[in-house]
Amino acid sequence: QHTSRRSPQPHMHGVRKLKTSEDKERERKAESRRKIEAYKHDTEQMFAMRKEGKLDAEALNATSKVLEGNPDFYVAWNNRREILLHLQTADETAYNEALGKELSFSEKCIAKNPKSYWVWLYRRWITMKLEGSMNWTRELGLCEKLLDLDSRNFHCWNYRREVSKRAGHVFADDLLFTEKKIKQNFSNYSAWHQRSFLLPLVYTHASDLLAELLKELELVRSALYTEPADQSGWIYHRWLTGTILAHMKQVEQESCAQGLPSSPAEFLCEELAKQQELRDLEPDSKWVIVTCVYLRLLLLSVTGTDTDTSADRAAVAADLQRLSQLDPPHAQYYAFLQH
Amino acid sequence: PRMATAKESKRVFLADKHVAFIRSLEKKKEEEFDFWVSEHLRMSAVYWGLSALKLMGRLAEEDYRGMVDWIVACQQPCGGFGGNVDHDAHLLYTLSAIQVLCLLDCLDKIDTEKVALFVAGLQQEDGSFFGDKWGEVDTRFSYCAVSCLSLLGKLDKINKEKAVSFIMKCCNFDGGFGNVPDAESHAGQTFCCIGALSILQALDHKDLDKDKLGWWLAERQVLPGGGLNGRPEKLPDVCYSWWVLTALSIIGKLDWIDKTALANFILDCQEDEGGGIADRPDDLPDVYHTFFGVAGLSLLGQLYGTEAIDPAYALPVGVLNRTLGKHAPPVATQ
Repeated sequence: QHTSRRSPQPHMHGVRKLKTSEDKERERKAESRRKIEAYKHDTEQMFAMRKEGKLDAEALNATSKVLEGNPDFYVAWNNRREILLHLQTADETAYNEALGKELSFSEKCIAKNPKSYWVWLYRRWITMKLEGSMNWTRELGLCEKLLDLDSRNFHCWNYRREVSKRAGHVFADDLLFTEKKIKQNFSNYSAWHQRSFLLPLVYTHASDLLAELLKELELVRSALYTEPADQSGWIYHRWLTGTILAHMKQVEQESCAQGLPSSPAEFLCEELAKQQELRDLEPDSKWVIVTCVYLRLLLLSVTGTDTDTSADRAAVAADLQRLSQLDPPHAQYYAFLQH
Repeated sequence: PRMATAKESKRVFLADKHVAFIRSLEKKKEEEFDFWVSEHLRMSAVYWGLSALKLMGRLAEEDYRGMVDWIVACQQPCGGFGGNVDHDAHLLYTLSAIQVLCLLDCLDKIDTEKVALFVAGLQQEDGSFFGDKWGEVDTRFSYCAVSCLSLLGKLDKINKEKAVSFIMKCCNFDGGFGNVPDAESHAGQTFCCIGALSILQALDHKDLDKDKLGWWLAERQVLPGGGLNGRPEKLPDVCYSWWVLTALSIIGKLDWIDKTALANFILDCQEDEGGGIADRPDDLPDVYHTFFGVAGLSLLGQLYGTEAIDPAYALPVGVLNRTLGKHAPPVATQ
């Protein structure tokens, strides 16, 4: 429930008499009463039919009226399911025809209410009932259209994952789709999120995964350069570096393909150097600086006890102090990192 | 845009106005379309309204005893509660019903065993919970089930280990939680998962990285306004301010955000004429955001004369202790 105030409509002077605010209030109340009467009529009709055990086309229509006015009226969705289940036992042909119509009805509801849990649940239910005769490829297209309108709609991303599997797609296809979304717009946390679990599902061999994660680092680097103030890339980058490090510790260096860093420390130093390049362009970006801190902390964790770490420690301390100035609200977080 | 200095100096918590706003919802609202179009969630609306009143120390429980008949009428034969009379049972409204009964100290007016059986019956093999018989799975429902059963003193009716393992399957790369496995992290879902883990006493799970989660939650704060958003690059909203705040509180990192800035954001969301709190400054208020705004202020340190609220149960601490106290295990007599 998020209601914006509307600013007063501009009016034309001298064209017609302005209504008094009393008139307007009366009109508003009358309109409100009309809407309420219509709405109450629709819901009461639906409940009455349900109480009678009426489960026919008229009853279905009654639920449609309610849902068109209020898609979150969950009882109407339940009633609709009951009606269809009844039809399934009463008249199989009519049932199959009805299911097809339900897909269109559901699609209309999603278009109007793309963030309603109940609406998405109903679509899932209908598609499961249609199972064998579902056009999953078309369904995938529907998801793509919706994600073009709102690339952060998690209902749609969740649904797309299920549909993708049913359409016979593999994880690599999904990964390709997320890459497409990211190339459209780097600020797509939802797409980065999908990649975080898709990458290990696609690259199941440890050394393949490691190579791929290093490539991913370059992909996210484009995001960091293009949109340095957007946190999506930075949060993903932190996970990526931590994960690369963890995998490097696991994978045997000798059996790796060429081009991989020879040690965790070398990897971290290289990444730090790259962050420093970005830092030269964005010296007051808290994200670059906190990333440098994080990388140095990781470096300190893999550095042997015989190495002199005072320079790195001093750099971390200096950076944390700078961060407290640039980003005062998170001072306590930086104090935590200091510890 | 930066708030005007005049408004800043008027950052007072308008308790009386909010009380009036909530009370007005019971009466005049019958003529408002919004009242009718939210009839399916009336049980939750009552929980939001009464909790807010209680936090402001203005809930006269006796005044609302009549409401208990309505709550009982919302219970379905299966034991669960619907959002309103004749509305089908669902976990969301079952939790709200139990919470309201706790607020009014009237849990003894219903068959709690029946409720518990309904709730426990919704747990699946993998530890997840259906919302109702139609089979939607969501970590919101894990929270509803766990909180509800705990309030009833019947948490042992479910498989707690499996409940925990399903929740952890919803933990993501950023430390946050989504509504189903592989779903994107969202502050609301994160509250549900952390709240449930807290009630299940599983916050020390090996895969729960509280530092990583704390950072993700702390970065929900949007400046200069000071409000919190629910996901990266989204707008701040008073309701997220609550969910992010409780999660931070439960993992012990409430000071990783600027509490003063957040409090100011909430105060700026107050409607100073008719009372109530909106999702963000200059929008219209509603009871949902009013509750979360008051709850947020309470959690920020009991400033402005509000009572303490428990972050996991989202109930006033006094009410919670009174409820849980009735389930205290008997002292061994040997």
